[in-house]
Amino acid sequence: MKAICWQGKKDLRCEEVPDPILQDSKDAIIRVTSTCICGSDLHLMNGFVPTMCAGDVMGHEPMGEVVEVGAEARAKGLKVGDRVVVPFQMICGECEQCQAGNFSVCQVTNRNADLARAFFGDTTAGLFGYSHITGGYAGGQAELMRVPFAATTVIKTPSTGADELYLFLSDILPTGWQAAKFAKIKPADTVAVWGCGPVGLFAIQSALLLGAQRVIAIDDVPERLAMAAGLGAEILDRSQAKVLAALKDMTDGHGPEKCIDAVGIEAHGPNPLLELIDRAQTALKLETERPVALREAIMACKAGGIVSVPGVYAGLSNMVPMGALMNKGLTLRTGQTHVKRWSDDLLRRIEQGEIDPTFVVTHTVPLDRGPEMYKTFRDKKDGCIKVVLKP
Amino acid sequence: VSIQDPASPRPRRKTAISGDRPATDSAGPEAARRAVLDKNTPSRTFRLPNGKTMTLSTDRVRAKPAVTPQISFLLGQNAIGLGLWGLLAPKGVNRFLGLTNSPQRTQALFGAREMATGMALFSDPTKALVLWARVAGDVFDIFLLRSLTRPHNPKRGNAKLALGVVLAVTVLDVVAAARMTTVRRNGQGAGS
Repeated sequence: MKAICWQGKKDLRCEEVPDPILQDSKDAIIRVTSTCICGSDLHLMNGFVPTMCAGDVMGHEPMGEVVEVGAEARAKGLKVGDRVVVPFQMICGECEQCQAGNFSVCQVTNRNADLARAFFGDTTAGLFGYSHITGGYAGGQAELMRVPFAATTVIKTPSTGADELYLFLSDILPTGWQAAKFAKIKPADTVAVWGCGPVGLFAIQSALLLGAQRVIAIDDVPERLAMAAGLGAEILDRSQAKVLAALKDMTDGHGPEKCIDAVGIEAHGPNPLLELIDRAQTALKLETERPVALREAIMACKAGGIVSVPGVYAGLSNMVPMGALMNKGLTLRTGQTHVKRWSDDLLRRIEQGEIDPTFVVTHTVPLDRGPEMYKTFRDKKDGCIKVVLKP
Repeated sequence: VSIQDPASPRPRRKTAISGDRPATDSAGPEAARRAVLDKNTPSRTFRLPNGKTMTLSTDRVRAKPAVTPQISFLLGQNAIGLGLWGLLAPKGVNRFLGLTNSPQRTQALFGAREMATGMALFSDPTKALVLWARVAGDVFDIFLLRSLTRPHNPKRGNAKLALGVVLAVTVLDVVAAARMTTVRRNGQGAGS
């Protein structure tokens, strides 16, 4: 079968790989009907996430049809023909963390837990197509994929309706939703969201749904800001204004009560010199990311506020203003998304028409055009916001 | 499992290949995790410097690893090293090659050239044009080094050594440039 494979830094190829097989009675094989390129795939492509190996299959936002089921998965109700979304993480449903709803740190599914412990101090869940720290599992930018722990992992969807209506339950919709939920939004709150990519847009939509009085969207890409404005956000074009000063002006001098960093590792700015310093440090491995948005979010946030971080970070960040975080009494909330904690509620909202996530899709192309679309997405060319691949 | 990123920890010694699982915990999540590692999961167990073991698994569904991107990346790192030598110690380069009448800025230019191509490949090893630019630089270096291997140069032994290294690197540059130019990423690029 064909799959998008990582062959080295910035080197992705659509290649032939072996078909997946059932390796455990909890497994299922999914014929992928739609799959996406995620912003965090760009971090993998660009070499920011360690332990990627040449030949790894990418992708963690797929959905499709069940074509083969192991005995245990079948006994738990999964059957051939089911239409399912595959969340980016696999979960056992039984361990201490799963029982607490902390699905992204399932204690069982990461088969490289030793490596995860070496990097992070404890294990995370196994993730699809997301380096060997998270299990080295083949991803979903492929014609077929094996889903371990299938019965507990997948989200069954109605058999009707376009894929794009449900597809984003795999990652970006619950990620934006969790970012807003973690911010504990109250009716009088002003919420500032850094980054108007797909996760940022869903965070904006979620913050408004959860009752925020104002949402300020921060970016410098015109079409993304326009989309944020269309959702009901006020926009702050960082190419035209100094973010921190502008936010103070917009919020009576104190800053937004809630700040959401939906940018993560590869932020730009705030000016060419400081960006060059971050780039030099990452090149020399003195830090592994450019946490510009996180620094700004902490500095901008009103004292006593919450900084929620759905943006992906992988390793070590320099010059994060811990003094501001501590002395302003801020709460920092973050984590990979616990998809299954939110998926039932979000699926219901989609079915009731309260959320229509299809607005983010700008490009739909065949799977073998994936490698070129990674670059289009990375360079924000052609108005690209979300790419859906059709195997 | 071959861990590509230089920042990742490299276990020192291989002790067993799949089936020989580390005994860290005997029950709970650890046991459940070990249960999912079957004969179809390529795994290796390593012994760490502290005496503990670490098992690394990968997926059987994967493409044949391509060699060219790794060569390109390594060429970039090598060029950065040479670039630093030329930029920071131009006198040393002159002494090593027996260049008595070459201005230091010539070596600094050589260093800057190597640094530029090195940084370009370090940031994006797929840049075929940069690899071809390196080939052009290699040709220039070969002609220069050949002239330094003549009997009047007391450091001709060093010049011959440098010439050999440059010839070897040139071969790698040409192979990497040719393959990176012709690789097809839309379904027909396997293994290059």
